[in-house]
Amino acid sequence: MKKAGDRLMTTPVQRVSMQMKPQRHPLFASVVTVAAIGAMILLGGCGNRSIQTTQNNANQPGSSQTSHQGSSTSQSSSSATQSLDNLNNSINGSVNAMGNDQSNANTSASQSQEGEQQP
Amino acid sequence: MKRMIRLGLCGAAIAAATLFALFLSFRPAQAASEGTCGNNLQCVIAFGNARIQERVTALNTLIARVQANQYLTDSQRDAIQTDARTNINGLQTLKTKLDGETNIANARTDVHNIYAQFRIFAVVLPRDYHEVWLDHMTNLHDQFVSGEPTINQAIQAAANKGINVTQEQQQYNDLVAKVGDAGTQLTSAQGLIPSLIPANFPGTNQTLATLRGDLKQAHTDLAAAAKDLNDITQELKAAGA
Repeated sequence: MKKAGDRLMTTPVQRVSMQMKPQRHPLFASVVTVAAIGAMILLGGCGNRSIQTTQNNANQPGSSQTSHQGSSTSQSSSSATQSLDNLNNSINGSVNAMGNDQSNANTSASQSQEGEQQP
Repeated sequence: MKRMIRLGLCGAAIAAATLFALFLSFRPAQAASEGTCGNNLQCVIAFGNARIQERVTALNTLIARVQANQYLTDSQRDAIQTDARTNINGLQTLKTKLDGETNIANARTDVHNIYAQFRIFAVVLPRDYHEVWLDHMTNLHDQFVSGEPTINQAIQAAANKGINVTQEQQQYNDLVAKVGDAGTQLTSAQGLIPSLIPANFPGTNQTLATLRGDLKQAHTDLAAAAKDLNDITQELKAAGA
């Protein structure tokens, strides 16, 4: 024997299903279009993030296990060495200039013992 | 015998006369620089103005050097230049006062104040030039600290490539230790700067000596760290990293 609730669940579904059928065509086309565009955007975004993640991981130690990742490590190694070289050049320039500041400070210290003169 | 005594006395007299002549010839040169104005007011004023001008010139040289120093931040440059200009303005005010004096005692007091109030050569210039050195090294120290991950990353990337980096790792550890020690010295030096003021003279001499000791040690540490960095860089490049 069916309960009252069973009827209520079955009948509206059937009715809706029957009622939606004639109205489904234009909505369905729009939804499919939007969904397709959204999927393309999402897939494109995921693809970019995936590449980005791969590149970032390639800069981390121990990330090269396959031949493709081995290539990434080679690139990251060169990149890391280039960054190191840039830092070294910058610091070398600063260290060399530091000598001038030390020289000026030494000169000022050597003049600091000047006694007071009275006319 | 008498003749010999006479000759000796004559020789002594000639020697004494020569020494006296030499004394007289050197005395005016000494008087020209100090202590000969007596009651001559214009002489005292001219003397004071010459001392003021020496100090203004030295402070302007400091300003020019600070402006040309590309290893300081704008705020560091501004602080030192502002201090120098404040002293120049004070000296110029004192010059105006000195030029207007009609009493020689007041003029002499003004000249005394060139030293007592300003201490440009004894305190201000040594402090400011050492502050330039300190600021530069502080910036270099910070550059090292922020660059340490870059150095470590390059070493690890080389290791991942199969390069033996044992030596570079030791150099890196030494670099980190040297930079850390430099930081300690610079912090100590920074704490001494505020006490280097004319009012604390002559105690400033000892403070300046301590400051110089700290800065020299920091300088040595940073130079050693820079050598470590240069060695690491050249070695990794030579190894094909």
